[in-house]
Amino acid sequence: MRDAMHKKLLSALRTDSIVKPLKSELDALFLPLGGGDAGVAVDDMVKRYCVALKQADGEPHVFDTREAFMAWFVQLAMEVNPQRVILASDPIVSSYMQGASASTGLNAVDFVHVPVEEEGREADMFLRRRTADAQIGIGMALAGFADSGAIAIASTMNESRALSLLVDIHIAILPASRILPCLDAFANEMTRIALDGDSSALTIVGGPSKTADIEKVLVTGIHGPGRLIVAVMSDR
Amino acid sequence: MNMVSVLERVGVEVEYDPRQTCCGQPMFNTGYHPEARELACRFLDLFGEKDCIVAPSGSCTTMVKVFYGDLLELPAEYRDRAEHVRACIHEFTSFMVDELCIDDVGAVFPARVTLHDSCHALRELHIKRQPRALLAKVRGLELCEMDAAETCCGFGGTFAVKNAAISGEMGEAKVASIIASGAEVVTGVDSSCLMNIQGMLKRKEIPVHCMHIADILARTEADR
Amino acid sequence: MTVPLKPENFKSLVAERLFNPQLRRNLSRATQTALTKRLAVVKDYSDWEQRRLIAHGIKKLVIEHLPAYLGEFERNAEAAGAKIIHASTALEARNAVLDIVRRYGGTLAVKSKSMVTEEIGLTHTMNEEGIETVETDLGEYIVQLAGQIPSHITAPALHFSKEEVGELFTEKLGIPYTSDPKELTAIARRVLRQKFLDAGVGLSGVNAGIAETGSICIVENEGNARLSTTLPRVHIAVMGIEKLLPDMRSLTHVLNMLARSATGQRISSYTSIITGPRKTGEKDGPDELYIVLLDNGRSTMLADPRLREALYCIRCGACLNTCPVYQKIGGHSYGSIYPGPIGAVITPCFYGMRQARYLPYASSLCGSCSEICPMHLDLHHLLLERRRQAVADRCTPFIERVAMRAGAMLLKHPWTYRLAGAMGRTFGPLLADANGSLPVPGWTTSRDFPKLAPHSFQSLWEEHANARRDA
Repeated sequence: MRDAMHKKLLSALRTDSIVKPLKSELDALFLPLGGGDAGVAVDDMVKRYCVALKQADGEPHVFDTREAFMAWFVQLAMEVNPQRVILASDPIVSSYMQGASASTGLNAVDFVHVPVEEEGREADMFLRRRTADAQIGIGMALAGFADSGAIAIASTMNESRALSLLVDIHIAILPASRILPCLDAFANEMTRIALDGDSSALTIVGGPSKTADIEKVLVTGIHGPGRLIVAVMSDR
Repeated sequence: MNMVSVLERVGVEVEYDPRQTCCGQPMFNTGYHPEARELACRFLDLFGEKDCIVAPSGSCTTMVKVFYGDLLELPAEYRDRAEHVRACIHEFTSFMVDELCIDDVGAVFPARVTLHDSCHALRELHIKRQPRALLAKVRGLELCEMDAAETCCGFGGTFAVKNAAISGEMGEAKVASIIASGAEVVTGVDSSCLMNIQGMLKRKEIPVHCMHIADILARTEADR
Repeated sequence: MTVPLKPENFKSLVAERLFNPQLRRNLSRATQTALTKRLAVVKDYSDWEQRRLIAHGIKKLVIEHLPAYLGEFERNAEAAGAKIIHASTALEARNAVLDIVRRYGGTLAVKSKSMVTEEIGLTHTMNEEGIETVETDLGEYIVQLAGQIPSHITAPALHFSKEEVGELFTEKLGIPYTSDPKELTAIARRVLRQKFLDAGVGLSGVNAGIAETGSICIVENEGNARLSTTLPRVHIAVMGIEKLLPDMRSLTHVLNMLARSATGQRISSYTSIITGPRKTGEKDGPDELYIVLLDNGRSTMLADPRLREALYCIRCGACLNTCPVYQKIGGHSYGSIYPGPIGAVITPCFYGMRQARYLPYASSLCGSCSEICPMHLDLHHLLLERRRQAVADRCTPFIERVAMRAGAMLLKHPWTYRLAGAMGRTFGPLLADANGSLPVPGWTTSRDFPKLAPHSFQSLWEEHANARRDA
């Protein structure tokens, strides 16, 4: 089957060469685009990022300290009244959410940590069921993109895919230093993540789940979180 | 004839070969390449040696300038002539503004005029600025740009007959834009579009005149 | 279920829609909104035209070296744990999918929006074979409930009013009537959520395969593709072989153009880049990933150097939005899964020119599609090529062929041309009505035929030349 298809394609192109063009030929195509946003100050990037995310119906917040983040989260919890929150086990998330359950206002919340150790299929299904009943998922952003307000997230041993998918509100923590001017600047890292073999799913999240399939009326939260909140941490 | 008067008025010596017929565009556009080729060869027989050809039509100019190239697959002996002619043929307003660098032809035409951007002229020949530059210098003329000036009028050659219903609706939309512009006259660089638009205006008894841009540019003080 | 591609259907389908004020209003609003939103974000790039050319250049490189890049993609995808299946035809693809599903004992499949799976009629076949296959994209779900096909590449239920959706949901889901889009969406979320959790198989298309890493990229706004490719144990992705890109840099470049052109967004809500099934240590994700590589006529387009460019299409739908014909008649009129300008170019490949013969002519060749295409496809010239093929394959009406031949003969000789003109001028007025309009079929349904000029240009020129000489 494979040979038959390849033979057909070769014959269609009237060639028998299976040699790719040189990488330099491909790279040359991008030369007219020039350098781009080298040397933009972090503060400006944060501002641009927040404007762009808002335009995409996301909710950016900028925090200087862990305390500021926690104070805001308590407010959010009072407003939303979640029964359960799923937490990624990434060290940054853990450090920000440390002691959350002891916080006033949050004692009724069931905080579930993504188990880091390999625990088998049953444990995975158990986690999935619990995530399906969770209102909030807090995970990490690997990068942010100032031109679009999007973030990059990946499925890892610390963070399940469902954490940002089955919940109603997805909160992503984004260190300000990780904000890049545009997606193109992340391409090399995307290659590395794909080839490293640790993660099978990298997702660029540009906003909340949305649809306008009924009379072009925009509705959020169809098959994913109706709210995307990005907590930009400017202390790191 | 008005194109001739305008050209002569600005000092161009005009020649006309009465043996010319058609560039082959209607055939080519409908997919009839052998027939189009016959007419193209005929055109090249007549015009192949000329150094400067002007046509009052964006679509005819496009046929020669763009489609007499690879798409039509002319016989080998006509290729050189085709290349030569493709470089020498110009649409009328482009010839005036881009080649002669003239935008003022001494025309007088006090009226509210709107301009329809014909598809071939606009998208194949990039003609948009030139007719506007010429109209801007017409004394007394007020240019009322319409919404969707760049949207197709629905003619499309044989499309107007093969898909008459759709063509008619596209024409309706164009007429609505024309009326909304408040113009008394609609003009353009292509008679085929104008014929389509005029047909609709007349059927609907709308009192807007339809004139080729050459007709406007030919008007002088004496025609007031 | 498809609206069969039948030339004789076209005129009646068009008439139904052209003169339906509600549909016209919906179409007009939807397409104009899409165009306005697109312009707003295209402005982000002062070098948009340059970017189009680069995107074109990238695809050209890939398509001209397709076997090499496909081979690289296969090797890398397999190295990441995916299983590759080659399908030359729609039938082979359907059978391959059914085979996999049966092997895993699947009885319920969830499916995300994918043109290629519509092209091969996958959903219909699977449901017939007893595997409940649910369309999960809201628009596709609505269209599936109603037993129709989508009317637009990116907005499948464009032709439904919210009231019609409300009635449909009441009828098929037994819920109390509502026409509020928010409530209807919430209902769909609830109903479909259970399907995602229960399904054994997830089906998707692929927006782009990345040769350098063997990854597949899926772009969406709803999240149903992520759910379909995360929750079920088996993920089957169907990918047209032309959907390849060389590397991630090419992907990001194309992604920058895709969302802007399709929905007027800078980027979609979710762009998933999947490399193989779940890895050790990951908490969820499918155990198995199958990638079905589909030919189904693409190699035929590849073999034609004049049509090869059509394979660069990224299915953004912008050409539909800008086409003045599409804006008036909507997607269903075309009778094909792929409507609008791009549809008219590629459909003859899937169904044959004879069946699709009216499609290349459903256009006034205005060229607006070519102008808007982010991949710089010369769509209106591709349509011209398809017309040439239609004529060469003898798929045009006999009378038209005769008329064209006669016209060419007439126009070849100046004396026949002048004679025809003279006859027209002499006899025309006899046939004309009070307004001077001649009864030309087709033309005169909606407009007058111009009064023929009293004198030919030739005679005017002769007068003028004489006057000049005498002066």
